[in-house]
Amino acid sequence: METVIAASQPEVTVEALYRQDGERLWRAVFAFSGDAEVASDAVAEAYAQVLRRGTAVRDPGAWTWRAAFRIASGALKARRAGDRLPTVLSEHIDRYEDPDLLDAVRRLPDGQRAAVILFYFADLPINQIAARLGSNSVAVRANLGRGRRRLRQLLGDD
Amino acid sequence: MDKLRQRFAALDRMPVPDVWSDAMRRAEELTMPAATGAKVTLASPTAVARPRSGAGMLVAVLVTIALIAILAVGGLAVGSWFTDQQRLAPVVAPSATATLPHATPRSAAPSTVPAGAAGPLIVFLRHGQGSGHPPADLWAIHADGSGAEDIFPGLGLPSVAWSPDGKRLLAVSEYRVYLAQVTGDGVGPFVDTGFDTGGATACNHKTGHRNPCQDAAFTFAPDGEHIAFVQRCTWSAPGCMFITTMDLRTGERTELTETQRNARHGVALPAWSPDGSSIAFTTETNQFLSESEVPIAKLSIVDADGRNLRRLDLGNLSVAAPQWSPDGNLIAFTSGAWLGDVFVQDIYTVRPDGSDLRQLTTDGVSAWPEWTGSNQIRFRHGGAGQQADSSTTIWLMDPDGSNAHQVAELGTTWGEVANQMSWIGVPGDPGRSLFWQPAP
Repeated sequence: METVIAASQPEVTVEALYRQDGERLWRAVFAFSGDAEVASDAVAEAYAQVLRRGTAVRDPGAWTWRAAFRIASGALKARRAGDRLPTVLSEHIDRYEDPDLLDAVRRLPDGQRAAVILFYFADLPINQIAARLGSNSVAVRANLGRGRRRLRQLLGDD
Repeated sequence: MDKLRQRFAALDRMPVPDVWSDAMRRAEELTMPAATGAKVTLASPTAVARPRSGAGMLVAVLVTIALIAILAVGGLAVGSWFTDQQRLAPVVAPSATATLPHATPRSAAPSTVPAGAAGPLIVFLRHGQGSGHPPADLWAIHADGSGAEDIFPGLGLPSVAWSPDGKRLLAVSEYRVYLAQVTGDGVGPFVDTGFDTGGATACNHKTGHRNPCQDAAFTFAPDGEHIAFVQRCTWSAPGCMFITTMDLRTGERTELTETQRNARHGVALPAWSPDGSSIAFTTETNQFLSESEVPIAKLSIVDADGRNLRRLDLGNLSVAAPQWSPDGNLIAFTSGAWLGDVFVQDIYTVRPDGSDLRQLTTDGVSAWPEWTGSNQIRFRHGGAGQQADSSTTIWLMDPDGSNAHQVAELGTTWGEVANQMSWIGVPGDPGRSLFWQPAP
C-alpha cells in the first residue's frame, strides 16, 4: 500500500488520499474500536486535521492512520474506565461476516488490539506499526505476540 | 496465508460509510474564529493540536515581539554566534519564528536548566495528549530530578540525539534538523540547520512514492560532525529501509543501501563505533521467535562508507539497542524472548567479531544499555512492559555484569515528570525514551 500525493493542492490530494486509503483506515479503526461511530469520527477528524495542516504534514498517508488510532483510543478511554471495550458491540458488526473475530479482538487490551489489527489487517511491518502507534518496536513485538496468542485462544485456533 | 490473516482479510468486504464530507466540515470548523470572537491565526501545525490558554497566547506573543526586537538590534547575533561555533553552512538564522517552518524554539535565550550543576542532563520527549496528532515536547531534567523544563515544544515526528561530547543536542521535527548548544548556562536555543532528512532517496524511483521517507533513530558519529539514522521509504517495496548518514556541516546525505540486504522489513537503531569506522545496527529477519510470528532482529555491522556488511551469528537471540563500549571492544545490547506468556529481556555483550557473547543480567526486566564515560553500563530496570514508567529504576553495572546497583528511581527522583512516563518515548526508536547527556 503506497501513498502517492502531490503537495501543491492539499485539498484535492488529501481527498485523493482518502479515496485511496480511507475505507481501509475506517475498517481498521472499526476493528480497533468496535464502534462505527467512533471509527467515522476518528477517520473524519484525522483527514480534517491533514486538510487543516496542509503541506506541514509530510507523509499524510502514515499521519492519518496514526491520528485516527489516537483519536479512537481517546474516544474509547473517555467512554470507559477499564481496559476493555464495552460488552455490547456496535450494531455495525452485524454487517460483518466474521463477527467472532471482532468479538475476540475487542477483548484484547488497547495496545495488543492495535498491534494485531495493524499487523494482520493493515499488513504493516513492526517498525511501521510502532511509528503509527507512537510506540516502539519492542513494545509492538510484545503486544503483537501476546495479542496473537490470546486471539487464537479466544478463537479456539490453538 | 496465515489463518488469522485470512480472517482479517474478510474485513475488506465490509461496507464503509463515506465520511469525506464530515472531514471537510470539520476542517472548516478548525479554521473558524475562536469562541471568544477573536480571530486566531494558527501559524504552525503545533498550534492546531495544542491550543494555548489566553495567558499562554499573551506570553507567546510577547516573547515573539521581544525576540524580533532583540534580533533587530542585535543583527542576528544569535545566528552569528551559532555559525561561528559550529561552522555550519548553510544555517538558517534563528532570527524569528517565521524562519522555523516546522517548529518554534521556546526562546532565543538559554533554558533555565543549568547543565552540570546537578548531574548530567537527561532529555526526553513527552507526547501530547488528546485527539488528533499531538506533537511532542522535548524536556530536559537533571538526574537528581531538579530543573525539569520544556525546552522545545511542538516537535512532530521527533527524534533526539546527543553529540558525543555532550555539548550539542540534535532534535529532528518533521524531517528538519535542529541543533542546540549545551553549555554550563543551559540548553539552547535550537537552531534550524536548514537540512532536511526526508529528501529524494534511492527508493523513490522504485516506488513512485513522492513523499519523504520517514526517519528515526538518530545517532552522532564520534567526530560530532556526522549523524546516522534510519530511513524508511516505504513498507510496500522490500528493502526500502536503510541506514543513511548526513554531514552536519553541509547537509549531504549518504544512503548506505547495502544495509538493507537480508533485511525482511528494515533496519533499526544504528550505533557508530567509537573510532568512527563502523556502524552497528539491527535487521529484522525471516526467522521468528519460538511460537511467535514476531521476526528475530539480528545484529549487523557495516563500514561507515556502507561497505563490508557483516551479520553476527548470535544464535536465536533477537537484538535491540546495540551500543558500543567507549574502547570499541564490546557491543552491549538488549535481547528479548518469550518465556511462557511473559516477554523477558536482558542485557548482553559481544565483541564486534561475534565472539565472547555474554549475558550480563538474568532478571528478565533489564534493557536498553548505555555506556557511561567511566566504562560502566547504565540500563533501565523494570517498568510496565517495555516502556519506562514511574516504577522504572536506573542501574549501573560493570562491563562484566558485576557490581550492579540502582542509581535512580524515576518515580521518586523525577516526581510528576515520571508519572507521565507513559507518554515519553520516541516512535520507532525503541527504548531510548531517556537520553542521558554524555560526560563532557
